[in-house]
Amino acid sequence: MRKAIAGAFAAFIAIVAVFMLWPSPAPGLVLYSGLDYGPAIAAAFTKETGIKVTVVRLATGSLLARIAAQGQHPDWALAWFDGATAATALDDAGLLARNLPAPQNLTPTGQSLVSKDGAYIPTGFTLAGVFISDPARLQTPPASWQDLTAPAFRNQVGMNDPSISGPTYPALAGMLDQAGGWPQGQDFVTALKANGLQMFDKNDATLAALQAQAISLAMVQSSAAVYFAANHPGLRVTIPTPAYMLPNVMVEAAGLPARQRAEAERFMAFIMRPDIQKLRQAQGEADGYYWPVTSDAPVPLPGLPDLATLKIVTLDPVAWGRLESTINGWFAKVMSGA
Amino acid sequence: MRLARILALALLAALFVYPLARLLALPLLQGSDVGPCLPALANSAFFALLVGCIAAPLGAILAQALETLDGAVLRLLGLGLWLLFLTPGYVLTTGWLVIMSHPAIRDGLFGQVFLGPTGLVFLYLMKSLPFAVFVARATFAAAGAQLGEAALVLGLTRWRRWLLRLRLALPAMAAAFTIAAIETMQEFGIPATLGLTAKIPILTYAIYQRLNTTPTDFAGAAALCWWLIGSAAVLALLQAAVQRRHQAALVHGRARQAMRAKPAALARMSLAGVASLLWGLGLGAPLLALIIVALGGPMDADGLDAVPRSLFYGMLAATLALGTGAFVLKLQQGRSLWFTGAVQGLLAANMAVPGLILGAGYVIAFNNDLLPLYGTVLLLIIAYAAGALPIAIRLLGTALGQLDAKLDEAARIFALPRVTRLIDIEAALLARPGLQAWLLVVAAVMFELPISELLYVPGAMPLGVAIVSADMMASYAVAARLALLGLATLAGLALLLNGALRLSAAPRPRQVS
Repeated sequence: MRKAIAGAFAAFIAIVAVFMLWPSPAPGLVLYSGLDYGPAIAAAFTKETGIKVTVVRLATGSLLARIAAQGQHPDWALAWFDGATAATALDDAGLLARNLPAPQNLTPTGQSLVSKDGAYIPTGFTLAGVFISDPARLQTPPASWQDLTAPAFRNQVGMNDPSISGPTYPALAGMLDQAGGWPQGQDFVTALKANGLQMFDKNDATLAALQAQAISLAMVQSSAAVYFAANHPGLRVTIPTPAYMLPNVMVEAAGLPARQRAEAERFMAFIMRPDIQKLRQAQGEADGYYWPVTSDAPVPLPGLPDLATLKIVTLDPVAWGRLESTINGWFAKVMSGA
Repeated sequence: MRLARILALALLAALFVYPLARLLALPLLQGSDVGPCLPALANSAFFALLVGCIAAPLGAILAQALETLDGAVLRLLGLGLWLLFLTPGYVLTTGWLVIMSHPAIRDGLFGQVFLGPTGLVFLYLMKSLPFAVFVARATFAAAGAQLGEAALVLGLTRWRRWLLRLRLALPAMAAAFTIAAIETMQEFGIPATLGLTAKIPILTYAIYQRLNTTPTDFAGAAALCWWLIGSAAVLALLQAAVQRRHQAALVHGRARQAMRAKPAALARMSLAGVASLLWGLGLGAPLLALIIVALGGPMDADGLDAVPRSLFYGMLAATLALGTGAFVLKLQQGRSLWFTGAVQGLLAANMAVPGLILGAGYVIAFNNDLLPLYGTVLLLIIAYAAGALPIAIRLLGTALGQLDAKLDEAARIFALPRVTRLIDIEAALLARPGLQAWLLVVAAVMFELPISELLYVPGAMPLGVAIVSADMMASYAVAARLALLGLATLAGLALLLNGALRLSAAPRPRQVS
């Protein structure tokens, strides 16, 4: 009897071990996606081409940290996320393939976003930091970044932590840029902190704080703000002047075998097709609210303002990408009051 | 046997020494600027000392009460401490976050106070108090009745008797202070969940941020790990110094257990107050909040696959840890002093290293051409098992030490086969403590957070990561369902296996032919 029990227990543990540790069949292209539409687009690609794509959905900050931690032993083939500055930092570390084929039919804006060494391709763009506020608590929203230091916004404003939320570093870089660049813009950020700026982990947490009335104004990525406002009527989105462009980009791991590289290039072309961009808009939840960078793409989703009415600035991804570590470290120090 | 011992030591070295050496050598080789993290160290040290100062006397008082008094309040208090010990800190914190999500509470005075250092200290204290009490109980359990009787015979005043008891409790309080302070210093789940780290930097979270956010900084994280290990070493030295100065020999041949007395009215009221606080604020409020929020809102299966996944991880890691532990303990039974010394040294060192540092070591050590295991389930389970190995060996060692070696000798004389000796004699006798140890490790792994955060396979979130991720998105209903389902699964597993064990051990009617 005891032997039977011991045998049954051993067999059960062996089955669990086989079940958990059995190597998964060839994963095909492994896509690290920081964007909501990644899984839907991968499924559509597999359906059309038969090429298997395994999608790993991660927050952008964790995605970038994973890529950095894996270093020269990547278990990913493609990564899709917001932020050319982050892509530049990965490229500087030698982790990305270069000379990726630029998308067809790029608009002039799209062409301006193409990486010089082909380390990433632009697949659309959002704005790095816009204001979403509750009119019931904040009657007059700020129009510019400088307005945020006014006493009316004391203890009312929240933003994401750039070390966790990948798309937030470009917003922080934008704030510094409009205040004179680095390091001249430090005074502006310090003044924001002195005016009670609060920090949360990422878009969802900052917007949850707005909804819970812990803050009255959230500085988040435009896609998150517009999507949130669409689902929470009564909230107001304001685009600051200037607004900073945040391209969503795709990168490829360095050193992929030739066959995988060819499949990756097919995927890159696939995601820029007009019908697939429509799918990105439909299946992307918040991330579907992006402005396309190809001339044959569908129009942006309703709720996104006309670009002609906005003053948009593009940051130099190389210069600001190289400052990311320094600036994030400095910002953490400012926010912790050290 | 010698070869087996060498292999066992090599295995332990591969699990502990190699990854930790790879990690801790980084700042020595590359250098690192940890200046910006000084506030994190200062805050963590301050909280650790504060919690230690509160937990040590409180733990000693409660330990003495639990060992010398009797009654329903004491039993309630003991049960509450065990439940607090077993409930992960970040699950309790999630419950409090649910309570604080109500604007009226959060914006009120209580909310303002709780969502700051006070709340952090309260949660740290709730988690470290059971450790302080359990450590101090050993001293009071060993103290016989004679000391109190002698004091009464000599006509000492109540005040003097109290001072004498305090002096007797000093080594216990030093141990309680040390363990509470180290636990607080190394706690990761509470600061990671409470979301105050932007305002109040904490050392463990600073290490995690350097490893798992952008930009990654392994050397910086390793330098901070030195601080964490160093602070544990300083606290342990402090305890050793106090115990050296105030040691008391309590266990001797004539020791007589003191009779447990009913507490006086004032003591009963005070203890009832503490028990109410533990049950009300420590357990009741957060767990009730979790239940309410879990039952409200739309029911969907969002992320619930994390529960069976972590349960299976826990089962595999527990089996691996206990199997390795039993193997090492068997090898220790010989008379090899060098092997016993080396094993004890390795295990003691590993116990001082929190999961966060072990996980960080694994990230660096197993991400190369030789051992490209990073990002695999196998590495995650090995890391879980390595982290649980010291406690597994401690738990098994006590039970194994009580088995008389002559049992095996007698079985050999009767020429019983090895399988029969192992299963029908040793395993049968060790079944109950072995099962409890296995369940304890399964529970610890199932809700483990720091190793999981650093090593989980993308797309396959363990339970702890799923709960904290849901917290960060303010999806408290999802977090609550995951936490409660995890606790219920564990309780179900414990009931099932204990029931099966009881049935298998029940006497069977003898068949008469």
